[in-house]
Amino acid sequence: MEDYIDDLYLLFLGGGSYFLLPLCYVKQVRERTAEQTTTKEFNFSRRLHKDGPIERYQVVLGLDGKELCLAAEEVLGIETLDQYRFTKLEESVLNERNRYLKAVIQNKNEAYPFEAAFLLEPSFLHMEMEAANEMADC
Amino acid sequence: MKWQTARNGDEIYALEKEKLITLVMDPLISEIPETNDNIRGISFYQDKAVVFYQTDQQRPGRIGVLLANEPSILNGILVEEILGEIEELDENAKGIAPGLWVMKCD
Repeated sequence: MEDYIDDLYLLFLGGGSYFLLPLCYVKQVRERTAEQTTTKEFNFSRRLHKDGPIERYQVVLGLDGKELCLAAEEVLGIETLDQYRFTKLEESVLNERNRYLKAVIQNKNEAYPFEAAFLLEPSFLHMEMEAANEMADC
Repeated sequence: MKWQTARNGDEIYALEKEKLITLVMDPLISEIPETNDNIRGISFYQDKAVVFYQTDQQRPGRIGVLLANEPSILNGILVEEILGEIEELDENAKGIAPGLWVMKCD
């Protein structure tokens, strides 16, 4: 069976939740060193006020010529997922802070310890980062 | 129109009978990052996503009551006990989600 790039997603853990990114946006996954933990990093643990877990990795995204770094506690791998299994998230669960969440999917892999993973929308991650940076500059 | 009632802590919920899908015990509910205060999280039932609502009530029950909503998304609420049916809602009932109302005890 062929794997189509459109069906491939990077699965990672951040701030206690599991996230998926379409692989076509992912430029690099690297270890997160002290020099790389800049303010220009999207950090779920910080946003969700979860202390404790150490983010050992950075997922580097490319979008419209710009780069965005996400901090991750674990990077579990690349998953092939049927796009029709995703459920688009409705307005009832979204607000101005978490619009980067696009959809949710149920985990069917017994090897993984979680029930739900959230599909991220990279353009909203960018927007949210820029909004957060603007506030920090005020 | 008939309503099914259920209790959680000192709150009574009224659930539209026509919308009732099922009850599930100890549903696995995943937190939704940075979501609204009235949302407990998300779960799954037969390949459909279930959005679980919550109130300020701190003690969530173990019984998940699932209600029809959109074709691919159900609504849910955790309760401790299923009670009887009522014909009409209290005047002071507050809507939480389509088909789901809360009526407080005094």
